[in-house]
Amino acid sequence: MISSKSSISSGQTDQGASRSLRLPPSIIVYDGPRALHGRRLNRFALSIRDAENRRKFVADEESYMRAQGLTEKERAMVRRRDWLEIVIYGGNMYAIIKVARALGISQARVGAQMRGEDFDAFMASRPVGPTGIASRDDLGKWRK
Amino acid sequence: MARILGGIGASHAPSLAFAQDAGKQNEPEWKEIFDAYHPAHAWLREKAPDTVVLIYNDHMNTFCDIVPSIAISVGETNPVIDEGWGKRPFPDCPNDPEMAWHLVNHLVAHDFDITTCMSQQVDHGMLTPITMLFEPPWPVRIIGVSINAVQHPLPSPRRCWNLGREIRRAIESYDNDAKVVVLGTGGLSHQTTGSGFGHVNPDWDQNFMTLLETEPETLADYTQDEIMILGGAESVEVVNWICMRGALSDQVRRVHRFYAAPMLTGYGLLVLDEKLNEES
Repeated sequence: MISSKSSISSGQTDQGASRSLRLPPSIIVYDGPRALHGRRLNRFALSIRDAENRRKFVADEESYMRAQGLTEKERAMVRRRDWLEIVIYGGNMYAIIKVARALGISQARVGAQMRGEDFDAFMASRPVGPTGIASRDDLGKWRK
Repeated sequence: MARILGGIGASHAPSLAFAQDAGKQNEPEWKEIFDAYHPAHAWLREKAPDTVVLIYNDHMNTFCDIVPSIAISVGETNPVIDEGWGKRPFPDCPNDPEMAWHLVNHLVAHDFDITTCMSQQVDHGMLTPITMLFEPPWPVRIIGVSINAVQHPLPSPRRCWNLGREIRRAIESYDNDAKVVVLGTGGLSHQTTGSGFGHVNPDWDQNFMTLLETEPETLADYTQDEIMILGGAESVEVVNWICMRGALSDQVRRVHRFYAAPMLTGYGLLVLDEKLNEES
């Protein structure tokens, strides 16, 4: 069953029997509904692996995205550099990071933005310290 | 018969490749990590494998519209590609098609439905650990075994463990005196998407490496959801390590273990030697 667009936009697309835990909204699962919904964005992102396509995209983002068949909504998300909305919509970060890098935006900056954090504040959170969560026995709060 | 000399688990983070290509191996933030590969280099020099069975996951560079759960490269070479930020200056990786087809024949005969791939593109899932462990011209042939760790539903850890067990039986039934190392790449904890970006869990990563060495089959009982919460959404690729360990015996000796998590990823490195090979 393919989820409606509204359920894609609001977090997990599948909290049914196939999930063994209640996943928090901080985890965005790239699954069938997202792969289907995000296919134009992902194909566009993969197309700029080609150096000439990359040059064309950076030189004129709008024309390149139109030529790739992105919808106005999809083009607007890229225009706004709204990485969180893009991955919730169905963009896969392994593809979308190619777009960010072509635009000179690092993974850490993309990530800080998705977290809703200032870049320097995010960098100050590194390295991550002990969590006290070391095995499946520590996952009680996520059990169904 | 071919035999397995041991296994290696290694990160495939692109950040290692960026640092390597920029010549930062001796800079303070990288030196400890690059130096940690020296014992692995020494072990590989001593063992001199002919072929590496490299268990990894593609990152939409080979598989996008078509996403196989398990694919094996069976052509003459594995071509190095431009992932979108420039092609790394390394030669294509020679495959071992004869052994690869033996693996495919054996695995399909034992109920693993394998996708064969004539031209499996070498993205960072393969190339980062290859360049961290070897120098060109590549001294080994490389058979890529790709497990889907990107588009859910994903093969379970149990499935990947069993795949490793069967890969061992396939190698041991290969009528050739090839010396084989099994390499599992990826992880450890990291999350590249959403408000949980940057999730790193050193406690789990360290426990994972201990369990992998000493009680590996307990990891087969984990679910992908459990791994996602423990290690982050993209850490599901640790099934590549579980598969690698499945291809080893319970007689392994740890040669080397390293872990550091300075930024966005837990960089793990584990070298396990098959004890039984010591007297041979």
